[in-house]
Amino acid sequence: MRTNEFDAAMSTPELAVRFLVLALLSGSVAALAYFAWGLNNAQVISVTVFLIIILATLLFWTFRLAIAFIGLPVLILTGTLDLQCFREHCALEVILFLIGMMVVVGGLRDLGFFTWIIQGILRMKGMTGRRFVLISGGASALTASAVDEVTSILFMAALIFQVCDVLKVRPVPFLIISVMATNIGSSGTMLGNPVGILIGSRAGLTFEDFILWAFPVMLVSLLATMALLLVWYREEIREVDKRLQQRRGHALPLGPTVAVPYRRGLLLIIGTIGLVALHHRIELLLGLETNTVLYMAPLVSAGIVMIWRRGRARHYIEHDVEWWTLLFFLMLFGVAATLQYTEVTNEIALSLKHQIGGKPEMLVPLVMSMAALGSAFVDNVIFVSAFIPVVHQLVGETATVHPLWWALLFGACFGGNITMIGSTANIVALGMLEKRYRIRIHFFEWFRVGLAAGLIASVIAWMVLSVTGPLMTGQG
Amino acid sequence: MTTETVKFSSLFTPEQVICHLEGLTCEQLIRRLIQLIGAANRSLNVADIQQLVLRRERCGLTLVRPDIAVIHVRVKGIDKLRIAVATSRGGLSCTVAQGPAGCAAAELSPVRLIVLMLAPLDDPAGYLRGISALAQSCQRAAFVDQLLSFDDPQKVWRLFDEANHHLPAYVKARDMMRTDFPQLHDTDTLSTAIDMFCRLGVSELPVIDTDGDLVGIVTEDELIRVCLPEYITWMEDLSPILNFEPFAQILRQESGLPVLEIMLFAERYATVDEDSPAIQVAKVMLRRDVREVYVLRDKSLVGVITIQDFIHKVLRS
Repeated sequence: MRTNEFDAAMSTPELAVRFLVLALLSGSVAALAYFAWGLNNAQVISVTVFLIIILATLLFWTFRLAIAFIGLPVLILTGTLDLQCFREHCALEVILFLIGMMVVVGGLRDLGFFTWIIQGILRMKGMTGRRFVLISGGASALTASAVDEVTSILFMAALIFQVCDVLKVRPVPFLIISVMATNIGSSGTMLGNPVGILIGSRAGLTFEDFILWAFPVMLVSLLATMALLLVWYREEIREVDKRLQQRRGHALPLGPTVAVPYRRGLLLIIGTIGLVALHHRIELLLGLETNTVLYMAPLVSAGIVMIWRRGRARHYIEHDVEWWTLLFFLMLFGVAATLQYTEVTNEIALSLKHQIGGKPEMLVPLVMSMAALGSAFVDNVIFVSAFIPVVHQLVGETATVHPLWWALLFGACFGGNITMIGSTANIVALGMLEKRYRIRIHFFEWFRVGLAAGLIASVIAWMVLSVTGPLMTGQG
Repeated sequence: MTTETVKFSSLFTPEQVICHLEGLTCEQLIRRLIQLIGAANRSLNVADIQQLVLRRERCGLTLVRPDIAVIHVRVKGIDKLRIAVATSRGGLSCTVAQGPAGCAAAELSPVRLIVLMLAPLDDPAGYLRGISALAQSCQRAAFVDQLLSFDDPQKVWRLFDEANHHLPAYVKARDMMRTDFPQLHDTDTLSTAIDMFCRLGVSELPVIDTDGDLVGIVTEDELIRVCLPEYITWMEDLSPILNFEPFAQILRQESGLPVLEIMLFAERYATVDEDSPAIQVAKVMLRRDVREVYVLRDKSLVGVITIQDFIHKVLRS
């Protein structure tokens, strides 16, 4: 979960203008909330602080943690949120899960696991443009499902850059394809995206639930999106075909490969995913609370990595764990909990129920499109953390596996494809592109294809959920 | 820093011209030229300037053409560029540091026209503008031949005056560039590039096509990166590459691989037009974070300016 600081250097006038925009917008919403919507003082404060944090991620990317640091004390010191509620909702188990996975990813990188995967793709015989797109897209999605979306794009971007450098083709289309596949793939399991584990933890969903209800939808959406992208970028893919043929004529490989001792890495990833996959069975066997083993599995693997590679243990903790992002999540979960604590989310849920009537067939597309549009412009973790209590209200306490949870998940993940700032993976990939090639993608270059891809994947997910929804509620 | 129109001939008088002083060494001639400038500017400390100029001369002269040399220093106590000119029929043998327009050169043909330029200490562009105007005057071979044929300093000065050339308002990229620099052709192999890196000690080489157009660059970094791509360097365990295994393929194929294989395209290097203000070069270097800027005439590569060239010419020389 690494982030790229795009706007590290901001001039003072630019800073002032952005601050003014933030103050005006949040002030207007606060006034509206108080005078027009009739919210009480605590509700107005919670909505305003939450909005300021949302705007901060848009306008002051580098200061978002600083603003969250100030926002949380404002809520606690004004009595809008108490410490007990913060402790209950800061999702420490999710943060620990993410720390464990980050250490495991560091170990996998050191052990050559990702090198082995990329070399495997580079060595493939009979590579064509279409095959390259399908394989890199598939690998991006599966890697995102197995580890996380940002790790996936970090490693897959290296593959894309290698192949594009060798073939002398523009890397932008292939990077966009890989990022979009990554975002879709991240919805396949609880490991793929922080919103997955967050939804799982709050809804009480298990890894098996994800494999049963989310993974197949992810695969179908991925196939449809890849088909769209194959058509969208057909010219660029044809060019790759041409260059590959020329290269084959000279018997030249796509990159040097070495004998990687991959077995240790493979063992680590199989062990970690195996433990995560079996968490529900183990919990039932040991009589543990739901998801206890799920949260602890990455920590066990991380501990093993740190003993195994003891010389690098400190490096994993200090460099591979994204403390900046995790601290932001911790604060954010607390701030989002205030919306629930002050019953703002309750008001939203009641309003939705009142207007839609609580029918899943209406609520699923509504929640999905709200999550998709929200995630297209705001960090999906912010949106999901605020929306979880609303979905909780709509779903009710009895149902765990419910189509609305999946609608929230797919909307948040697929919506990330709509704009170039829609997900952390997008921002990381664009940062790498700019650093390496000095290429800046125009907002609309992404948006045109992103909107089409986001729409197709969301519509497919909605259609599948319409079919599987009744099965879920019957089961729940 | 002066930017008004200055006629080249206004920078000296016939009294600062020596014609056909034969039998002198380069050093002796320079002493004479300094004395001529000193005679017209009593406030100048001639002895100090002599030391400066001779130290500079020992580093070598700058050639405008193979037979026209300039020696230039920045000194205290003058308010504008001062010039003294000497001609020699037989030619003088001088050590040469930089060839035409700044290119590296070794001992060349005897120098027949030598120009001493003293620039104010705080004028970074002064001598560069002077050299640019001199180069413009001496572009035509007939002008130089006529100049060398005169025995009378008055006639030499008048010829410059009638040419009516002025110091450019600002220094252009072409006034600062090296024109004699190593380069690769797009038909060259990787083997040639590696040989040039090893032999010349340069860190990057421009690649031109048959029309002389710049098509890309090859860098030492890229050569290493091609052998050791990012995905291999992720591994902490170096046992699979301890004996440089990834470099084996380059060794096997370097003589057959075209240099285009590791060439970087336009987005990875910086260019300026030859008529761009030279300060643009510094801006481009900083904004693009590069240490070399390629100078183009249309698409043709005509010169290179390195960050060292820039610092040397603006703050030293």
